[in-house]
Amino acid sequence: MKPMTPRMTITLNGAEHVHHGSGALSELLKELGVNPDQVAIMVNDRIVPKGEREAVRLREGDGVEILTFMGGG
Amino acid sequence: MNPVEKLVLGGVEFDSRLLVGTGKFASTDVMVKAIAASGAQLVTVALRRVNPERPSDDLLGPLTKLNITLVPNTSGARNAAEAIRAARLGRELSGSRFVKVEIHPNPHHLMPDAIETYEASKVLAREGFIVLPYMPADPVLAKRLEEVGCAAVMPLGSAIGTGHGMTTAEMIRLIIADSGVPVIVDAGLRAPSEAAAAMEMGCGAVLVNSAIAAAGDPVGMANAFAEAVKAGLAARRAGLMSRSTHAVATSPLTTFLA
Repeated sequence: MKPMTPRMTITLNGAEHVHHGSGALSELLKELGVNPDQVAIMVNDRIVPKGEREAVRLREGDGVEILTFMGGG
Repeated sequence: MNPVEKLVLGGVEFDSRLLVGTGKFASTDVMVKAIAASGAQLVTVALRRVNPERPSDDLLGPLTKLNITLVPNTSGARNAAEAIRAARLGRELSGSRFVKVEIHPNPHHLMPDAIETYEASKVLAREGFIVLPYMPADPVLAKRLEEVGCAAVMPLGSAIGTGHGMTTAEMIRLIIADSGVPVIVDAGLRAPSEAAAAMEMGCGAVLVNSAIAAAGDPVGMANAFAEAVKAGLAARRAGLMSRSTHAVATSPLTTFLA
């Protein structure tokens, strides 16, 4: 029997998102096709510094914000 | 005036007195060329949520190829707490200590909230940010922002994106007269002549976005603003002649034809 890919429902940028993976931020970014160097991440209103991303494991119901730069004055 | 002829913000020196924004450009390519033409060393950017449908829609890549310092703004924040969070996120992403505190709760006029701007600036300056607050052209507030550690004050010339020029000129004059930090006119400028006038008046720099991005030829306009800022600063240093209430002849008034 194949091991089941874990899945969890999180709130991503204000919308419900089903994540298929371990909950590692690197997996989430890969799933989204987002370049890890071009984003800042908040989990449950806490900023996750780049150096601490590895340590984070998302859990069911977590709120995740992924932000990047856009044009602005 | 700064004797070393450089713009100094939070101990960091800049040769260029023109700061530019990255909003409203028709394409990233035009934006990059306009920034290069402007000679700007400080460039503002805004934060937004990633759109996984458009992952390539990224600014950071092209901007990091330019020799500039990013100034993330806190646009979208409606109060100090949101602005502080946006500033910290911006720093995480840019690696820059610079932040433009921008808190305008009303989309109709986009006037900065003086109270929230003051509160956010105080906290961020204490955290080691180089704080550039976008503010109403109010001399009292300017002094208060300087006192809490802002590296400059950025009074508005007129409402963001309106192109009405320096409708606040008299207030900005008062701010300059009393300021111990550079005064940067931010918002409302339309023509390079207005940027020159701001520099002649004694501003340390100007921040321009819409006037360049929405010009017929943004690259040409960026260059025009760069020249105007230089001319205005040179005029300021040269010292403008004093005004007179009556005519003062420049030619002899000899009546030799009588």
